[in-house]
Amino acid sequence: MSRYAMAIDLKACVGCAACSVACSVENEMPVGTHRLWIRNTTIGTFPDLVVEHRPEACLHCENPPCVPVCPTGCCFVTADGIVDLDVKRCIGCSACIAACPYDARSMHPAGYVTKCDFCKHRVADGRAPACVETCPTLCRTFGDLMDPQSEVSIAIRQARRVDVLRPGLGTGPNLYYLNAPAKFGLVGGEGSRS
Amino acid sequence: MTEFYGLPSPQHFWHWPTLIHFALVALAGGAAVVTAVAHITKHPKVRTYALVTMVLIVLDLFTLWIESPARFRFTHVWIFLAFTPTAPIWLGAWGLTISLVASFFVWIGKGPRLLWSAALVVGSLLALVYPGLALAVNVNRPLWTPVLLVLFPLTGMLTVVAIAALFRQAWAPRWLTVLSLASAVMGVVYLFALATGAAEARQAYAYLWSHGGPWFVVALVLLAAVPALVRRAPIAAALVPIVGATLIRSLIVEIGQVQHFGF
Repeated sequence: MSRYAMAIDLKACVGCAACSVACSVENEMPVGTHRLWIRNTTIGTFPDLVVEHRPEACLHCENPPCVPVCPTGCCFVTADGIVDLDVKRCIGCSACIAACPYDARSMHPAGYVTKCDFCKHRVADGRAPACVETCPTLCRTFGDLMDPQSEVSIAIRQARRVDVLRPGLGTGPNLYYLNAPAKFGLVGGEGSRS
Repeated sequence: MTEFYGLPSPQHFWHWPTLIHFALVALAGGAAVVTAVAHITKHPKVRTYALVTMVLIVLDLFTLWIESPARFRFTHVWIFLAFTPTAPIWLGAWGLTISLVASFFVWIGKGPRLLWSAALVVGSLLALVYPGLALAVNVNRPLWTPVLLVLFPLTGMLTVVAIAALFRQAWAPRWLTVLSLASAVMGVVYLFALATGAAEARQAYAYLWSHGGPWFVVALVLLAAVPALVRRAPIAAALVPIVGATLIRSLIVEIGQVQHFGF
């Protein structure tokens, strides 16, 4: 059994948003709507400043708070660990949007909830998600965490630092942030983030 | 400083029709509880209460349908084809449906009395409790605390008892006093728990205060004033808690949608 995960090396990310554009095109998102976005945070005080570009999307949690609150069972976790949606069952109640600690879900103009699904149609064909394939700095890696030789396993193993968002919630995200500038004392010290 | 490219999620995912739903479901759930008690105690006006319950539930369901972005895809049938008891909305949908069916049979006076009593008790409690539960399960939103599991059913009952008082039901005034004071106390407990909670709760408290906190206090004052009004101005005593309770519920639902206090 696979456990799909993604890692993003924040030291390499330049915030070009090519991943966001590729995601929108690949998943035919209407203009102005996104499944993937970039958080650009300026950290430090002049002249010791750094901008951290952090791409964010669904984290495909191991314990996703969005799934148990869905009244129709349209939210579920696949055997490969992808937190997925059956939009034909979605009633647009927004219970899953409320439950997501990462604001990773939004309402599609067609009246159902949408979010990153790791480009499951591409993954089924043995291809990488569109954001991974298009990244010009190769800061994204994707693969099976159960396979120690997969790109994502190696990237996580070799990273100086690995972070997940809001670890205290116990959601067990499968989107890992590597080498976060803010955590390395490039500006100020660790914990200097506001 | 933080800026975004392509942020998909607006801060508010529930809009003003949802606030109407939260007001109507308070009335519907509360009315179902009143009907259940009236049916069990063989109250002479039980058929009237059952009819009012039906009207309120239908109004609430219609509001839900109107506000649903999937209203013309008719996917709501999946609520009744799925078994998702961990979902408060699933519990609420069944609670309202059971209450509606049981109220209908009570209204027409057909069927086994014991069955409708049991159905009304279960259905009405689910309908009354589920709005607070639907909020409280979201541990990521610090303004939606477990206190809502008590505060929302209390304010729900209060609004329907206030309507009953408005229509001069003899039993209503004393319950109006009890429920108003209980709601006001729970409102204070809610604020106190936030203000003395963990860092995120205190940030949320400050956010609540700056985005409508004074209105929250106004609502609490209205609720606390009810006992003084019950004998002197019965109509005002009935109207004031409806405003106060609805204001508290609306503020919590509207302002509580924010969750940017952390990561």
